[in-house]
Amino acid sequence: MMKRYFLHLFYKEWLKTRWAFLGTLLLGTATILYIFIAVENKITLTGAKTILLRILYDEPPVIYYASFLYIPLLTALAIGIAQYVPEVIQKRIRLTLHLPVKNNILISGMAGFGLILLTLSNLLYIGLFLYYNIRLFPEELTKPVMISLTPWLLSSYIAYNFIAMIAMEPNKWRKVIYSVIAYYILQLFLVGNEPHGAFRESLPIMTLMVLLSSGLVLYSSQRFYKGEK
Amino acid sequence: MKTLKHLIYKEWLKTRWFASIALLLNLGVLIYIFIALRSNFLSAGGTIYLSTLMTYKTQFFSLYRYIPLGIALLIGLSQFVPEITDKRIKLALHLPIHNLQIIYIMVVYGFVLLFLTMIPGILIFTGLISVYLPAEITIPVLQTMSPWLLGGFCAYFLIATIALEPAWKFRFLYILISYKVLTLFFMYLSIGNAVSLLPVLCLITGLSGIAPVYTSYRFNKGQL
Amino acid sequence: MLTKIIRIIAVLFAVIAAATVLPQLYYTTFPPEGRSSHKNICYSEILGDFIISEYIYSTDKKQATGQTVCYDRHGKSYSRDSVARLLLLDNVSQLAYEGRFPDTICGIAVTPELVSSEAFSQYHSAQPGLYYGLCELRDQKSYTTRTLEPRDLFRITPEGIQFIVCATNQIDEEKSRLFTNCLTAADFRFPALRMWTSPDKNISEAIGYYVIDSKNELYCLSMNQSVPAVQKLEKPDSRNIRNITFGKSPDIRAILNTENGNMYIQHPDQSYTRLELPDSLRKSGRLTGNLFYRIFTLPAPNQQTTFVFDRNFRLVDSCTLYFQPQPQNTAGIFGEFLFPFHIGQTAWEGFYADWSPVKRFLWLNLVLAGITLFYKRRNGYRLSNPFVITDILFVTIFGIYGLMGISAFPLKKSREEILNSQSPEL
Repeated sequence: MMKRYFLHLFYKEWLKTRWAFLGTLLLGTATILYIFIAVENKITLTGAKTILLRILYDEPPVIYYASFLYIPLLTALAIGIAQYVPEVIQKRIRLTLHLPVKNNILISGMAGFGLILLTLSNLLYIGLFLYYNIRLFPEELTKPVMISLTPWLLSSYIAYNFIAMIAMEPNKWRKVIYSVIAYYILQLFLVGNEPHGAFRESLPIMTLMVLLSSGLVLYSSQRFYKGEK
Repeated sequence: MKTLKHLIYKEWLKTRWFASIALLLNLGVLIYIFIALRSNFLSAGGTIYLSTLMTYKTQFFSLYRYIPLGIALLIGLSQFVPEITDKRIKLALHLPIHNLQIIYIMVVYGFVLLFLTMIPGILIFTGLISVYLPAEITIPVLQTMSPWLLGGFCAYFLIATIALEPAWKFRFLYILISYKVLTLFFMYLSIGNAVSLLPVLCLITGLSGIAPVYTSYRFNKGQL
Repeated sequence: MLTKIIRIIAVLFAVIAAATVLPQLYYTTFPPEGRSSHKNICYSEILGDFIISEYIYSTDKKQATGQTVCYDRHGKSYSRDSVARLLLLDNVSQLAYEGRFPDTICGIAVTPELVSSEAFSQYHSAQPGLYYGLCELRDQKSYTTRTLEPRDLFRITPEGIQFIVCATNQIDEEKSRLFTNCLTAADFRFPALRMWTSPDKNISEAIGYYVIDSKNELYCLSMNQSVPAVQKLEKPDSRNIRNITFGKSPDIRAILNTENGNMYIQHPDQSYTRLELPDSLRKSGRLTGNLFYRIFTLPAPNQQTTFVFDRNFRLVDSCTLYFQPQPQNTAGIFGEFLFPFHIGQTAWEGFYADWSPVKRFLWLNLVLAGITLFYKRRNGYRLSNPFVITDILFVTIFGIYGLMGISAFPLKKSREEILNSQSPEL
């Protein structure tokens, strides 16, 4: 019984978000492909050993994957906006709330779907990036680079959870306040310009923040449902 | 005349909240740039900071680069997206004025709103900067910021054009073209070098101002 | 219930965001306006004592000028002219230009060229730096022909040394086997813990790499006309080596820091001299050298100690300079009252929270907690509600951040609280 409801819910959410998801997925894949085209181009011009030495040891560090910084964030924004904005604008969530399932479970289902989509796209990006990186560079570079990429991938979850919370918030001024909070939290995640492998010590706390932020949408949706202002 | 006032009021109702956010954003960023400049100035010492600024040509105001674009997005999207989702423009088309005039009043309204959001902030900024920096630095700073402001206006016109386009496949094409055109405005140039580019950018902005005519014609044809 | 717990998480996020941004904004608006004096220290070979020069800003705040005063450790001051005559080795170019450079210093015949060629400066550190494990091994005879230019990078894994040809990202099996056999023959235990080489290309080619194997023994690995050259080196003492810095001057081959804080100089004949420096476990400093001396400068919070050694690395003299910390202006003190802590993130140490002294911010926190209590009571929240207590606790610990957090996320009243607050109207 519950499983059928979730399947219906997921299908509804997929219908809402498919174009946004596929569009940003395309953009992300294109960015990764472009990153490696640029690197291979430099290798052809200058020589593989010189480029690798430069990437490893240059000051300021050569971050050849810098274009990827905002891609997970964009994916999260696209999915979040496509999923929650229609609910709020056209008050369509009221219709969903007439289904014989508790509200919290519904909202959690929506959020869960979004997070699953995000995880899928992040895994795809990781897979694609690893494929090209392992082909080109030895693992002494790949491991630190993946560590440097992880905060960016984690930032997508934070962004998604905050967008869900912001969209479902009924009060306009609190929306602005929450956006400001989200902006500054995201600045802790979207860090770059350090040698590869930096911010490894921050990863446990970042993961904790991501896990804790998963429930934020329930706070706003409760108030939205009760009609508070 | 009364229809004009009603139309403008309708636009104001749509955009007022976003326009106030845009104004706050604009002022906030500019004042923050000034505060940071003042902080560097006081802690490093006037002579040292000015000589560093002039030797390395650091762009202390580079935080402001994409703000005009953001403002254009805020005002443009809030103004035109309801038109296409709710097809509310149909109601406006029953007013006793020509369709093109309605659309142009909307575009001009947006342009004026954009102007009022950005330019007073820039004037205040110039005044604040002049307390610490001589004119030899302030003028090139403004010259470097003007492509960004023009980019904001151009982006607004392009948003109007794209929104009014009925067919999605043409919209994608216009979005790609707009992206490429807007890159011209937000290039990473050294201070003061944008002067030679400004006439071309003004021309592009002017042309993009006329672009809504083309798509609105096709939009109107679709409605009738 | 669940919502209330989620609200606490949201309040914590707001506290983190505020703690990241507010102190930064505050200190940018009110920057510390002190001008610390700049001190510089040199050792005079003529005087046999240190000469300290200090740039003192004029007391008139509007002027950005100052003047330099020079004095020695006993407080005797010198004029600029006399100082130049006392610090001959450091002012070679200026004195030679003015024609005032003497023919002998302390009985040794000198020329300006000799003195400048003996001067060098470099940094040394007790902590190893960024390390990827992937390095380039250049041939000792690279300068003769380009065919000896390597196209690979090497790493030392538990299976042995591996040369990775960058263009194909494959391992050069033959070369790797050759080198692995050579290393095994020298009793090398794979994998290597760490490798160091000189940043100077010429020295790096000549010496190669100093490698620590898994048994903490020291080896020198290099390549001579494509033939591996492995040499086991003696360690300075029985302790493990922490960091190796190669020297810029011919009489210093390397500077080794061991794990209990000792620092050794390795000479070109591979003998060691221990430097009589204090425990230098966390310190990195500068090494400057001239014709007579080798001078080590070790920094510490608000001070800097200079040690002067002769060419045989025997300690001649040492001196500590104390820097006055910038006096805190009123904005800084007010900031300590206002902000209990400040959250930031560094690249290699992760997140940190910098707390102000407790006695400063506790007062404001208690005042804010009192205000919060007052408002909660006024709006009808019962104190028996554990979440109200949590709110007040947040304000007490986190101060202004806590206040912003709990106002951003309102607490829902429980049913009886709503009923109680409405009862006067009934």
